[in-house]
Amino acid sequence: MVGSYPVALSDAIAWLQGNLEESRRALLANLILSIRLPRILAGVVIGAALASSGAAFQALFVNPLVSPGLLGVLAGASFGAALGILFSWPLVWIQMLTFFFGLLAVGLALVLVRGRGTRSKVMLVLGGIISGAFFTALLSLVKYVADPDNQLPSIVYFLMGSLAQVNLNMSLWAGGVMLLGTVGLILHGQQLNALSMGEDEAHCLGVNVERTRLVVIILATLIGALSVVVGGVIGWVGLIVPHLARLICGPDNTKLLPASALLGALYLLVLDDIGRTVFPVEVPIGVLTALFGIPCFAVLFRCGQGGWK
Amino acid sequence: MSAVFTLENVSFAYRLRPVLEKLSFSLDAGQVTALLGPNGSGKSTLLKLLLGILRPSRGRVLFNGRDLSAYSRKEFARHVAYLPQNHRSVFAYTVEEVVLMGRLPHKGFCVPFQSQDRQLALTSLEQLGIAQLARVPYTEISGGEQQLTLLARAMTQGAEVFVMDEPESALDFGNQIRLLERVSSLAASGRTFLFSTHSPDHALRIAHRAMLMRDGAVLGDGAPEDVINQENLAKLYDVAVRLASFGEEGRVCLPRLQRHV
Repeated sequence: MVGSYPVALSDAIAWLQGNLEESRRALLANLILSIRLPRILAGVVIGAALASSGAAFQALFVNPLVSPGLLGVLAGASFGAALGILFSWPLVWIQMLTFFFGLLAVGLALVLVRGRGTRSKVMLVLGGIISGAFFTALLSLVKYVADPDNQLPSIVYFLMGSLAQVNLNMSLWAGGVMLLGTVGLILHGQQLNALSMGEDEAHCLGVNVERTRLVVIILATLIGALSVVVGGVIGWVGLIVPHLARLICGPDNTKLLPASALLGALYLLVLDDIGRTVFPVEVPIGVLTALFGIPCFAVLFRCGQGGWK
Repeated sequence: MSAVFTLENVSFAYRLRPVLEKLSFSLDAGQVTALLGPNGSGKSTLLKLLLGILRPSRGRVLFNGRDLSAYSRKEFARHVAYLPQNHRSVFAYTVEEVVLMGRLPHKGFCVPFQSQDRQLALTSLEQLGIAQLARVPYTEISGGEQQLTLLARAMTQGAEVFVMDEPESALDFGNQIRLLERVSSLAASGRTFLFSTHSPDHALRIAHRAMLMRDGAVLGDGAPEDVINQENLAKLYDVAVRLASFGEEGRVCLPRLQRHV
């Protein structure tokens, strides 16, 4: 209903009922099924998945300033995508490379701290910083050697984040996996509550700290890598939406995680609609999430009332 | 009296640095034991070994006659509760939500809290006289109220053994005494307490037993009136101390000040 080609609600209903002439039907089918629906699905699922993994990470690392990219997944995936574009590989290969390097970056962070105080979340954060910085440096290298006329702009646009390239197939399978990951995170609400009080305390409340942490990290990494595969780097959703949700329903993760998912879905859907209608040219969603998110965050930060101290 | 915890030749080392050397003792049910010792003496490490947070490098820790590693975390948590030191929460959970976490060891994965869980939480809060705080954010209550909240959580957990790491260290004078009173009366109802402390006076006040630790070894172990004496305190803290007796009321420590020019 929203977009550069007007489709009235009555048109959409008529299309669903099937009483339209042939040419009009084909046009609407194309518009709705292959352009708008995948995009809406992708936006909703990415928003929900990133926001809930942000909330889960904030509880896991007992820090409300943490975002889903903490362990390097976004940096790794960005590098993978840029590498694929540099080699001018087909889209499917670029996507696989993106996914693979997203997982690899987090894997590297985990391997770095293996055996050396794996119980300590500070070590884990350091591992993530190292791994993220490494892949960011590699990304710079790829950008530097990329052809500045074609490849470099492609890389830069991709990294800004956009839902314009999404097709139905991709949004269905990647969205399905992300949705499962989101549900998986939501099921860990009680464990995350205990973990947010500190590791020793969670242990003494009967929570398997290592296992819960590993499961949450794996789910959030899958979500993060897939979100880059589908829509590029869409920042700030995973940091800000949990704060907004916490204002509404408090810090209890059994409520906060589903609330973040709903709010994240809504947030990204609305911003994407704004991005492709309000301005004469389409504005990348990653730019909008930052432009809207940062002032939001600044206000929350100034007020100091995000349900945390 | 039956032993709750038994340590058999327990040693512990962080990497290569030995922290505890061949400790063997047992803790009896229903007793309040105070653990005294200077910073770095191994008190916290000992508590973590008893809680199963750390595993001994050598020797074994038994709970109710069974090795700790034979317990699942949930099963162990139904018996033993931990009250951490100088506790802060980053997220503003309500007092009730914090206390309800004590029901986690009794729940299956992802089973929501029932009304009887809430009832248990509320009962514990009422017993400690802080039911009016149930809806208040944990981050906004005083240090004394936070310790009482943790006590309420441990009671809600259904634990019979309470392990406390310097529970009174961050409290003001009045709240210290009120916390000790609570511990004393909970112990009278059959619960077992082990707490580390920097105050020999507190050990003298409420403990049935005092263990003095220095450099990972036990220097003295027995009734507080017997082991907390001039000689042991000098060894423990390198401070000259006199003990004053108030007869039936008990004893207190008076450190002597060195005159510095």
